[in-house]
Amino acid sequence: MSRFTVVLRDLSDRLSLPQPARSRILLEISGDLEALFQSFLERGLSEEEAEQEALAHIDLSSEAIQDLGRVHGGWFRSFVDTLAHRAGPRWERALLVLLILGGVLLSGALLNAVPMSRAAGIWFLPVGCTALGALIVSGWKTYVLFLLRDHRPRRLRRGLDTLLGLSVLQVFLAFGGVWFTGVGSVRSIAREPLRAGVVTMQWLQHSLALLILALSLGLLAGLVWFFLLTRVVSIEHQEAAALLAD
Amino acid sequence: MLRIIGYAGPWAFPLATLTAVLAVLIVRAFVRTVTSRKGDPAQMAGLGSAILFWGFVSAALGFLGQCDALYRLMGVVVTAPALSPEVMAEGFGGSFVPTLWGAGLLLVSGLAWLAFSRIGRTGARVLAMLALPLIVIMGCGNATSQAPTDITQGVWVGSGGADQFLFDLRGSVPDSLFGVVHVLHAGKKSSELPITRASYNAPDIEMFIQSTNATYKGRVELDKGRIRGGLSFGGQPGSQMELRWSDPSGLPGYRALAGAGPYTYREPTAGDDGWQVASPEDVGLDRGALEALVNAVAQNEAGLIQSLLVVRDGKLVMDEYFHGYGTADVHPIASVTKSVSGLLVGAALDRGLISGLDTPLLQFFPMKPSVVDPGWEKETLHHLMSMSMGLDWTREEMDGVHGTGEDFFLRVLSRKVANSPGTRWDYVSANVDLLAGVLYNATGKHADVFAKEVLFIPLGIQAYDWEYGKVDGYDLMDGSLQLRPRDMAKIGTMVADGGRWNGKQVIGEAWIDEFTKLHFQTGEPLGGYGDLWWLGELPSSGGMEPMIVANGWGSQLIVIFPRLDMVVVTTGGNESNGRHLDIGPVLARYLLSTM
Repeated sequence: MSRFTVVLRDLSDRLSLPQPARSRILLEISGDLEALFQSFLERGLSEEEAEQEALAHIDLSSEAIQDLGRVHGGWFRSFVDTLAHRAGPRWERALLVLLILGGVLLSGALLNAVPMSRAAGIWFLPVGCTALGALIVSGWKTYVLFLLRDHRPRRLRRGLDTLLGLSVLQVFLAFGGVWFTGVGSVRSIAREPLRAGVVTMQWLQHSLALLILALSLGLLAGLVWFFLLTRVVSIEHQEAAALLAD
Repeated sequence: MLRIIGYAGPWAFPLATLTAVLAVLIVRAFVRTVTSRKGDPAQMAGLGSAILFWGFVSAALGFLGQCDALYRLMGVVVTAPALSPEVMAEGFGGSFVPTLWGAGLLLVSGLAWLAFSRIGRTGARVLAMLALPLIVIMGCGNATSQAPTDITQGVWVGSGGADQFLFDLRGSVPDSLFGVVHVLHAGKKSSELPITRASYNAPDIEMFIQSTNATYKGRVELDKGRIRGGLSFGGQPGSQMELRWSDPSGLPGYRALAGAGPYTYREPTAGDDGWQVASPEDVGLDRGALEALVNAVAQNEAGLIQSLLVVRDGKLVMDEYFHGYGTADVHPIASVTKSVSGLLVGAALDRGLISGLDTPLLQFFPMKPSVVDPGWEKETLHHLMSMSMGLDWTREEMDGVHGTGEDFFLRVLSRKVANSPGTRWDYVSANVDLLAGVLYNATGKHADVFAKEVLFIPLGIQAYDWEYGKVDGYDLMDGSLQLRPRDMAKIGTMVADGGRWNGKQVIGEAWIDEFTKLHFQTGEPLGGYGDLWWLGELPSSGGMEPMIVANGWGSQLIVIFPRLDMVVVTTGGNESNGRHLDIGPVLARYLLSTM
């Protein structure tokens, strides 16, 4: 039980947000209160005074709580929250793990297919670098969550948005590559109309290879993001429940 | 439904899994909506979000599936540029199936999300009630179409290398079964192998294919739609081959025509290969008769026909392809090669490179075997071309010996002369193969090089292949040339016009007349034989119509009707089904009867 349990319970009652946004806000405010409390203790205040000062320095007015609700209640954030919050059933998690494993195998097979990597051309480089970035973030986040078990509230979600961003970026880069090489092909056809068939065929092969690689790697990164997100939400929920417990 | 799954290929598995997941989530959300009196908006929103998430995953996976399918299609097109437009169109169209499947799931999941998390319980109930029967119907459709109820239903598909084998059984169980194996290669139906004997005593099945001396034995699992077994050849153990039950109509190349419904006439495209095209009315042909002819061919009345072309008055009137083949395909023309080889002799005679058809054959072969039968002194080029050399080949050797190159020529030259040359007709491919040596000695060029110079370039023939069986540059003259059907039709039109193509003399008319003159009645179905060209007749409205034929095994035919100024060309895959000349009665019934 936290020294701020009563305040946090009151805050929880006043927050008109669904889970897991409510747990996340509670954890953040609890973390802030604890940090302030420690700070005042270090300045020589007693525990009681430090507690009072900490509460005085945090704005828990109705307006401030409404602002918090707005910050955490955007449509995308709400969608992600509700999605992650209920991804509880074992069969759904098992399916997710199976899909990720399948994705790893598929991506490995596609990357092994040398002609396809070649067909993807120079644009495979930025896509590949982004995928590598996503892999590093995934690995680091998995290590922190599952091995290091660092569940500090402010660090829990660090890197997740980056992972999702990298996943989307891969797909955007691939479409960019398709568009740019398409423009190049059209120019080439304008110069040499007789080679239109060959140039179009090369462009299609290049584009499709790039899209396959980017989509499969992006989809894989997206699934890993979802898997990690459900884990984070689950941790947040447990931590918040512990805070509010008697 | 099976067809859709077939088109989705390997992507069908994850998409089907996601379909099942979404169905379960939607049903569960529906049950909760209906049974929960209070309702829990947060829980419903969570369920709705999950449904939407898997919908997005399905859509992304579906699009990935289409990219993959298109990439593979591009690979096939690059390695086989002669792929027919119909097959390419079918592949292109089929590639959209995963995307449409995934997009459909996204649409359904979007509606479900809207219902369960946005518009409240009443809306959710209404939508769910509408969606549920649909899901049940789709499920039932799947369940009923997954397996056959009878061994003769649909076809059983097995794979061997790049080929697909479709076992198509007819008749009644247990021992009055018969059927055919359709062989599909790269989206084209290449041949038909009759199942000459079959027996089915559930669950064991045995099928014998005489033309390849192959037997398939297996155990039928009707409920699972599969036969587990293997092929053996001549009693020797062969390879395992599992057969999967399938609706064949979606398999590229299985159906004769790509479109649905009966054939409607379409005028050929002129292209840039020198052909003038015309409508049937322009050249006095009946459009309905041509349509009936194509429909009859598409209905398998002439066995496996892969192309059908009709030329009249020197103009291309019909240029149709079946079972995945197309204009650009070069096709093995089997013994039509012999007739083309004969034309090359004509070109050499025109140029004075050969003095005459009565030139002794031995003059063309400086290297001779140690012992040459004295009868060879009387053998002439004419005896070779009219199949009347009278050598002592056995019946098996006449049918089965082929070859080229100097060693092979020595092998032929060492045969004894059993009958006086010019007195007895025997169809011997090995004798014709001597023409490779004759032409090289006379012209200083191998047959393919000479053919390009004197025949292919003047006729505008650019796509051909004469590589198979070549030895030290000598071509196999009895049956290894490959041509496009449109180019076969040029050769037929040139012969019909006394050796002229588009007004220009390519082969001397006198030699054309000589080659197409009757020298022997053969006793074969086609009747007469000239110099490497067959002579026969077919019934027409005006009595028996004479024809000159370049006749290649399997329905590779150039049929010239001189009196009608008409040429018909076919290519086919009737090598093993005994239907090599079935196109003759079909032509007579549907086309000649109207002229």
